[in-house]
Amino acid sequence: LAPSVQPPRALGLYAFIFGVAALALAAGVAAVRLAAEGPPPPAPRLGQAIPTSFGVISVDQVERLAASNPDRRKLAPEQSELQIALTTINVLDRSVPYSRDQVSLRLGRDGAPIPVKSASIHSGKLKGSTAFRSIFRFVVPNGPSELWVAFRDPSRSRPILIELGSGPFPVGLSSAYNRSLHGVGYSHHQQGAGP
Amino acid sequence: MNVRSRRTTRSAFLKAGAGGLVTVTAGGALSRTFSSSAQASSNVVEVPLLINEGYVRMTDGSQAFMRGFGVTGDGRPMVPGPPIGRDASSVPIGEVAFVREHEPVRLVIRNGLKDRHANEVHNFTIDGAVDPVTRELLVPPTPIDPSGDPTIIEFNAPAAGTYIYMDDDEIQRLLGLHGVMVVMPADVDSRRPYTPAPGMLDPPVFDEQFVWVFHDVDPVWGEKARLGEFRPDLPPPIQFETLMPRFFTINGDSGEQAEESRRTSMRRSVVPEGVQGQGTLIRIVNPGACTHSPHFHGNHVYILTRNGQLPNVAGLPAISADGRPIAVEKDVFPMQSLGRTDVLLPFHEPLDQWPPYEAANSHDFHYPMHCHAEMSQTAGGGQYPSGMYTEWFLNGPLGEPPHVGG
Repeated sequence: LAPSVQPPRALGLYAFIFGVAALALAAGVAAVRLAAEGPPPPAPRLGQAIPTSFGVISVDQVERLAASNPDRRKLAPEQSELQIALTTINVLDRSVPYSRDQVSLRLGRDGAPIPVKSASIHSGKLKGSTAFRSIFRFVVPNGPSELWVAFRDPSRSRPILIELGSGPFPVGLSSAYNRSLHGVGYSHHQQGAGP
Repeated sequence: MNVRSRRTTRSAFLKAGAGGLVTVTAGGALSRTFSSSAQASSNVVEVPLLINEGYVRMTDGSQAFMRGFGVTGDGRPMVPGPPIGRDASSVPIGEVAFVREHEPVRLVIRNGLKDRHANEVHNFTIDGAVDPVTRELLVPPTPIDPSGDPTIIEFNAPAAGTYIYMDDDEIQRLLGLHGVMVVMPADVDSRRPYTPAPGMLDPPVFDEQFVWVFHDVDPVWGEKARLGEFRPDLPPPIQFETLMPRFFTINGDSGEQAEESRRTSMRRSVVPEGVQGQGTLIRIVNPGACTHSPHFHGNHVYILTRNGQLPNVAGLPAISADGRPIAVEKDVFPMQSLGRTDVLLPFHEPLDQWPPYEAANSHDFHYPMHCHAEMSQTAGGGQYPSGMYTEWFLNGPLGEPPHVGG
């Protein structure tokens, strides 16, 4: 007699049943873990101190560059530039490397990274027990988009994601001297001469 | 701003203070009492202080982890801490919370860090406040119960003047554990900064008064304080030599680029505004670590006391050998760490300015006051001008200069 062979249809049925069982098991494990650990913590946001392997970082400011900014002439009409300020604090007693490549922007949490277009830094080492603030610019499409900053901590396998929201973001907030804050364009370089 | 209404409000405040309002009494169990020569009295000025910690938003939007003796409305540490005085929550613009000489004071201090830093002991003291007889510190460094139960410190207010209360540990003080106690003369009608005394300049009369607390904030220190308890493997202990402040504040705020809410706060507690001849007393203290150099545009100020003592002119006392006072008129002067300097801003006609002052065309004048130590004019390592900076307003029209200072 020829050896018995399971028909292909029966194999497919077993595979289906096994798959369903595996999914159910995985869902059960996830449910137990969720019940034990609670929901994942909310993503860090603008102005929030975020722990890293060397100290903390925070994205402190986000803005769209003003339409009058000369840099905009290099952009397509449907694009604009977004600028963020990042504060990095190294609490260690040794230097840690930094690079503009550590930072990227995402359209959506899982979106493809948008690389830095320009920044106030290239790369270097941040001395121990010091902090510094750096500026990064990205080219983004006009209009609302859910934006996230991704920061690559050298000691972590996955990037830290910071939620910026979808705007609208202030325009030109961090210009070196913002007359709009004063309403009357006051500057002590122009007034207040005296002893 | 309506100067008249402000003065009316301030008068009501002073009247209430002179009436000797009884403050709330301590509640709950008291674990420990340190008492100096405080008199038994129902008219005690009682001030609660709570040692706590948390993030404080800096002028550039970043967060600095700090400690304070009070808590703000949004649950953050209050730096500087609450003033030691009556009715501190209802002080009108142009006035400060204060106690009067010899008044009994009771501080109820709790350590709110017991769950996070169980082994930390904080020692509370008031710098420069001495017993009038023994000349010893009224409140020598006194440990605050680490369990969180209240520690009571009682004393009778020292000589009229300006004092810094603080954690005796320099690092804790720089993390934010400091505040101010203003003492006014016992004479309830007095609008003078101190009681006349031999060897002191005749104290002038002032209209309004402000307290300016200078401070230097190092967020790296804050992070080390925050992480130290949980990740002893991570940060090295805080060493004073590593101090590198990134923010320089007056009463907790940075000037110029501060956003509107902070500017409103500064206008209330920092910015003098008035008409010609409105002598304004400014009590400047520096619980920070850096030496600062406040520089006034528009008017020189008269230095009345330095660390509660007669000031010097070129190293010599400001009273000549034959007893004549010498005006210590300065536009810039040093403020060393833990320094205390009371000055009178005279609000007189602006001198030597360009374009020249013309009474017929006088208008409102708007002047800066900034620290001359260059690093303090920035925030976050270089943002200018966002540091130890403020303004003062001399409202016109100006006329013949009145006599200032009584």
